[in-house]
Amino acid sequence: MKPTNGEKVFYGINYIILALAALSCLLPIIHIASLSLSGNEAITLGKVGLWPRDFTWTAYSKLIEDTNIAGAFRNSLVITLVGTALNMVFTILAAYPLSRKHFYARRTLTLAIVFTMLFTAGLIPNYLLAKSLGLVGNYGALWLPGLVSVYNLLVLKSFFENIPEELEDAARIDGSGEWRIILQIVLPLSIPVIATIALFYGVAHWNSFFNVLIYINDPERFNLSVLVQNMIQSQSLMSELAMLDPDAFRKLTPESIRSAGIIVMILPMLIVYPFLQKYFVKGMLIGSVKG
Amino acid sequence: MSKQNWSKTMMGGFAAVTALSMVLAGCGSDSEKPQAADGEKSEAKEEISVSIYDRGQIPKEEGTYSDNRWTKWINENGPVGVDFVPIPRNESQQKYSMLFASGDAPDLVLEYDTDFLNSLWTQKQLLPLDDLVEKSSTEYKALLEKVPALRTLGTKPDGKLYNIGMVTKPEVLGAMVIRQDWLDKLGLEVPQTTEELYAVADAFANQDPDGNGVKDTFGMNLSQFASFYVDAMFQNEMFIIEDGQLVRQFDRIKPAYEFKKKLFENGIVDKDFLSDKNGQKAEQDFASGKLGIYLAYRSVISKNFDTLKNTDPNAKITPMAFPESEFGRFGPDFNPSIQMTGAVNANAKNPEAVMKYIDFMVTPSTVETLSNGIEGEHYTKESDGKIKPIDEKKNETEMGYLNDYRMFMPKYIVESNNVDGRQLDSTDPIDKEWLAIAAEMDTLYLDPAHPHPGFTHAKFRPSLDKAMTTTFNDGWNNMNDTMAKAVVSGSGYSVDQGVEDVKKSWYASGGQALEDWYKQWYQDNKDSWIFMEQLYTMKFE
Amino acid sequence: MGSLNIGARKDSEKQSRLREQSALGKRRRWNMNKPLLIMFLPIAIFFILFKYVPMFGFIIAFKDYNFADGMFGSPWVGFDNYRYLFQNPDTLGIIRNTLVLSALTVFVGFPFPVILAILLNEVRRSWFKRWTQTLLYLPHFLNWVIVGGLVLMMFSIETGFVNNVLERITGSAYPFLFNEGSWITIFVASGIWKGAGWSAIIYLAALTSIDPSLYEAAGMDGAGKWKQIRHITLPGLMPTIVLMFILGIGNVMDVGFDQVYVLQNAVVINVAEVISTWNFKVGLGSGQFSYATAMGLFESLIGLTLVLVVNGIARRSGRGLW
Repeated sequence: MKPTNGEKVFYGINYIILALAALSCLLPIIHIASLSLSGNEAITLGKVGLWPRDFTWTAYSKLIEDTNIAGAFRNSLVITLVGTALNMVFTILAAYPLSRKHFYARRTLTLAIVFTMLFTAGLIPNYLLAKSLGLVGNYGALWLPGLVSVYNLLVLKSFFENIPEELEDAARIDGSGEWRIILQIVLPLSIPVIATIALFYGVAHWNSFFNVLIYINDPERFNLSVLVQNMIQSQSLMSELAMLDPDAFRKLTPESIRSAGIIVMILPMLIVYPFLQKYFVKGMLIGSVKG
Repeated sequence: MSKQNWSKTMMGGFAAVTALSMVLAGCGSDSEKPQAADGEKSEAKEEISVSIYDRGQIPKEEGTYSDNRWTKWINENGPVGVDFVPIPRNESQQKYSMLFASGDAPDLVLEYDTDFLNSLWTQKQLLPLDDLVEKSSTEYKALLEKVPALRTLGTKPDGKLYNIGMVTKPEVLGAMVIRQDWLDKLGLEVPQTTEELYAVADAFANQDPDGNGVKDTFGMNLSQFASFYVDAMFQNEMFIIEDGQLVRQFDRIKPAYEFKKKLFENGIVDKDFLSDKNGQKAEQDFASGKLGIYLAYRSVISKNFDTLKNTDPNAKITPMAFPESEFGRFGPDFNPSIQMTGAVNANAKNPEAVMKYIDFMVTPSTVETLSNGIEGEHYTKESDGKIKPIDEKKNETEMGYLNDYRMFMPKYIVESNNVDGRQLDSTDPIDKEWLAIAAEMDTLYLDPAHPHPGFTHAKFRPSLDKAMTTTFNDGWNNMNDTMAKAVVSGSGYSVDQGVEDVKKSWYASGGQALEDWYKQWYQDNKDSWIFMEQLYTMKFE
Repeated sequence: MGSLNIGARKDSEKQSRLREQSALGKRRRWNMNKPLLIMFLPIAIFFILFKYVPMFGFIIAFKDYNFADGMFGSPWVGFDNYRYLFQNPDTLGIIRNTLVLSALTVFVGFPFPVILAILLNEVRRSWFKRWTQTLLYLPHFLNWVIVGGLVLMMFSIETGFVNNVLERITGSAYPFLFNEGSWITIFVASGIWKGAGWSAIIYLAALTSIDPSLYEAAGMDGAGKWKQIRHITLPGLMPTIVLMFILGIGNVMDVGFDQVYVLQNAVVINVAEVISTWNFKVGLGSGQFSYATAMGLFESLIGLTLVLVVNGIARRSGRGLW
């Protein structure tokens, strides 16, 4: 079908808007990348814009030589992969029953769960609980207390509710149990939303910072986020260092290395997302009903 | 992918996850064992735990803040076994709070924020040290006798000693430098009064001192601490001593802020100074030779001095005393010789062992080792007893992260071999030039004749209760915010109006009660407390 | 249910039949529920253990909490913490600011991810779609400290990009960051810039469940793009939109500390000081857990009220969360 003139205008404007919006997101990243590849003096003098000045790889080589970036990266991977997998399993197990119209007390339970999203008890009680369960000091403290996010649970539940019931009824008549229905019908039909909330969980784990600092004591087990955030936030502590330890202040992590840290932190996100996008297939739900 | 396969993959995934999480959970508990083994090495030694800031700045090959060559050295050479508990610097108070709430806090707590240490005291988490020092201490006891102020400042309102502290030489913190080459070019002198300061800054901004034909220079900066330094010139502190009374003053606000407003309105300072919270823009202006008068920490000026010299080899800067205002001549903020930096946990299992550790750490030989390194490895002693580093690069790697281990050390006993990170015997011309400037700053800013205004150093104000702390901090924030608005709002919001509003809000939020309390406190403590002038005259040899 | 209101005589007969049916239905329902209950059991344990048990911690909102006596031993003070918080002359203004900033973030920011998703949905070239989508989601990963730096780069008076352009055109710069109106605009806009691409993902996922043949049919009928979006895309997204709105409204008192702290300055403090930044500045942040909890409980109550109201409205159109 050929696009009409009106459609051509629409597409044209659409492309321009999206291109501009994407550009506004791209430029800052390019700027940060340029900073990470520039000499420190050029940065101090504010000369670096969208192109590196006094081009150098030192920031990256320093990052690899001086910091435990490889270990932090590995820790981040472990935290993210295991955490996300656990999240997915339990979120699916929570969302499926709540999405079934015949499930007892489904309204009460949903309300009870929404309630926990609004009323969070604060640091101390959570810490005490984690401690009494023996979670402090290991990654369990990062995985278990956030095992099911209410937000993601409700998203998944609402998508499950949209799956036509005829499909399940047919399966039930064929003698399938609930577990088989989940695995063979519900999940395959929900791949886009599964991919989405896996991304949400994964990114949350990848970025987790405060919990790592509070619950993990051994610096060897810190993740990339802590490493990079420490560098970024050291800016706010600069005056303390300038006051207490002028010697160390002079040798403080320069902006180029901070920028390099940010790039290393973002890079995996750049790679993962396009990969997930291929699961966003239009009309897949409908296709399966027909077929 | 067919549905059948897909569900198989999912099942496999589930199993793998469960297995993996079990393995990892196992790892978690295993990883604590080697630490215990470490402890066994020190055999009969008593075990204590001590906090250490984790700034994320330790080189990879040195290990971690809790396990590196110096923690090993301390464990081998010290009288007790020490388990260093890393405390993330950025979230130190949150982390401490969790540790105290769960009863896991280290035996010795080191923290720069005296307000936080005070909040631990109000929550009965700190151990009174008087008896402990009396019975089990030798070194720290001697230090307390030598430096009585250490006891005065570490004592809480209940009359008992709780805090331990660091003793250094008083050090220059804030500084003010002026471009001598610009002065020469325009035929001006270093300003001596605030009027002259304005005139010179005006000339720097408007008479093209860098001679490039473009009006692209700033007379001075007002960003970050610079604004407070202008306040200091006009003695604009909340509480000052006047006629033998400690009073909340309001009449210095107006002259200080009219000065700032004039600078702002006539384009002498960067119009964005309020959003330059970390002072980075001012650093950039100074380093690129666009700033005539620079008010900042000395170490910050030093850090940017090299860049300035590289961009403009003819640039010459001179440190200057704060100019005189109608209220007198004052000086910038400085690092006093005493800082309270630590306390012992009330639940420490073995307070005597903690005291042993404190004693060990304040012993001159320990202080020397943790400052200079190990003889033969990091430095050699020359015939005149001077310390000479063997390999500066190596020392930087192996010792650059040591500062927080020295948090309560009497650092005054070691002769420092560097100023602002520059070796005293450096042959580099820029280093040499800076060292001369720094030496001049010492005489200018550590002068008791021109003290920093305020009755005492901010860290040594008396402890207030919750409500009064809020009143104090609210009053301080409110003054800075309201008056900043007056600076940038032109005729829409005058300085007079600002002062009125500051006063109003001060009394609306309980200011009177705080004033009364301070007045009474001063009457009761004026002979025993440490006040500003004493901080300049304290000397230890 | 209306169908039950039939003639009185038929009623008894029908009810006995219904009872029979429902007895059978009950058993059937029980059988269908069994696996679901087993499935849900670990989840219930999780929520009770990790979410409800720690809620005991809320008692410290009514106590003068100290570490020595702990959560249960600390002395009760009734509503003293609230009295203290609400008697401070600044508090009301701060609560108002918190509400205004977060409400603007929720209401103004809300449509952007939806619009973005719809626009992306209309892109035909898949490489273009993939690239723009990925780029748009990147700002989510930038720390607010960095975004704050970018905002300065754009809007500062002397060196800001916008002001440089403005000066060339009008001859004078505008203090965007020092005017309350423009500051709020920048605050909300920076939040949208940082989050819209990320939030659009959920709508993109929702779009996959719309039947493409609907568009084809509409195209045949001569419906323009605008009509197609209005009559096919938007209705298809509606359940997700409602869900996101309800979830968003629950966090209405929760303005991110970092965003406000990084962007605020002294001149706009009258609109820019929020609960969390104020707590931080007056030192209530450190060790004063009773105040923090009291404030948190207050925020939660407002959130709960709003969610109940919005969900009630949504339920009338059959789209409620529960």
